[in-house]
Amino acid sequence: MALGMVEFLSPEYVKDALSKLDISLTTLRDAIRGAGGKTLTDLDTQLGNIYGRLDVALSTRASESTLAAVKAQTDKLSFDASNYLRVNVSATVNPPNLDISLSSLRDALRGAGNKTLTDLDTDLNNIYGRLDVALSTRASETTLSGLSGKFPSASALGDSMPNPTTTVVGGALLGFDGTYWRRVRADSNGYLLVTANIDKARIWDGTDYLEINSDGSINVKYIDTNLSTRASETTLSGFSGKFPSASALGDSMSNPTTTVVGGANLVWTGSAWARVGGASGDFVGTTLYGVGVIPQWLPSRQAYLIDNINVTTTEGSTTIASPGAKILIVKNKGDVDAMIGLNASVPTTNPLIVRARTVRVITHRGVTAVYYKTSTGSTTLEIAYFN
Amino acid sequence: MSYEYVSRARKDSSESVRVMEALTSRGLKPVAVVWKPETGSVVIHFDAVLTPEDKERVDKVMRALGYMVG
Repeated sequence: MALGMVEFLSPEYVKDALSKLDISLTTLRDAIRGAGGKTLTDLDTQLGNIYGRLDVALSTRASESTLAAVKAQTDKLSFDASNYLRVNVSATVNPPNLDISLSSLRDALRGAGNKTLTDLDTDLNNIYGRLDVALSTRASETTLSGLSGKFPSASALGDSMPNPTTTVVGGALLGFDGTYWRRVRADSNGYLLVTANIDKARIWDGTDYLEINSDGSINVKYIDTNLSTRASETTLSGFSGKFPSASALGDSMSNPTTTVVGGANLVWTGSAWARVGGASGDFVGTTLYGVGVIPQWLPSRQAYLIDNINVTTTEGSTTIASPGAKILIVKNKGDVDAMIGLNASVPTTNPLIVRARTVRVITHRGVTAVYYKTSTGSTTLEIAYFN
Repeated sequence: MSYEYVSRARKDSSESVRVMEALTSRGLKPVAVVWKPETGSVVIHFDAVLTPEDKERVDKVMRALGYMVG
């Protein structure tokens, strides 16, 4: 208020006015800001935050009546002591659809292999691992069909086949020389030119090998020594000359004019070879050397001998103890033939005869009686037997 | 060893068989018996010399068959 104005202020008024200045301005400021020292700016900040949360109009929120209606419904819910909601199962909608147990449903879904979604996931992961590139990057049906058309249809190979009407692919046969690959060569007839550089060749016949060595020698199963060590043509020819020409054996053959080879006849004793024994004896009036032969059936023991049996025209007999003689040796020592009957009297016709000065050896299943007589005169028998 | 016995009776060539059977049936074991028609005697062969007891048994058999023992 400007004091320059011509206006009169009552001293009472001034006095009353000044009496209202009872606290200082600082005290007033602090009283207004309070213990937290908040300013209007602080309040404005808080109001700004609150306004931010009030992002829709309050009228769009549930009214009291709406909440009352909701409460009326929630009041119908009841809880047990553990605060679990009680539900009337009988009122469950569509109970007939619960026709199998959860475990049955689980097993049916897992199947006989008892596979779970984890198993499928593992398999899918494996498959995915193999699908390491996109399928679209692989050969298409069109590409494979075009390639297939370049090959002939399958057919058995055979002679006189027609010329191919499809793609012909040449095979470039190459051989490695240790450094480079070289083309295999053929002559003008198409025959393969081969120069083999091998140390040893082996040809297998299924049983043995024929080996050709790098030094030119050949190893054959039965050629195990040098040919020069074998008999020469000269040697064999000379040897051949020592033998007569082949000819059929027959009577009245001429004396051999070539080498005569003596045969050293040996017999096996069971433990060693021994020379065949020879002995001289009378052979049809002539003394000759012959081979000594021991019949296999001849017993090695001593025969029982009955000597000096006088035989006349009256039949006599010698009885031999059972089981009888298996080998009967009758020797006629006289000059008259003796007629013999074995196990019975001397037959009247065609009797067995032991000629004078001869020996007859008889093998028999058992001679228990020997009957004898002469037709004229007398003789002497010697009977020996083995039983 | 052989032993000869003479018979006064007339015999035939089967006599050696009869003598053999008679001796063996009594446990005696001759190896051969020879009938000698020209003397009417038999010669009995054993593979060993008989003991006096066996010789007596043979003599007894031969007496029974009509042979002289002496």
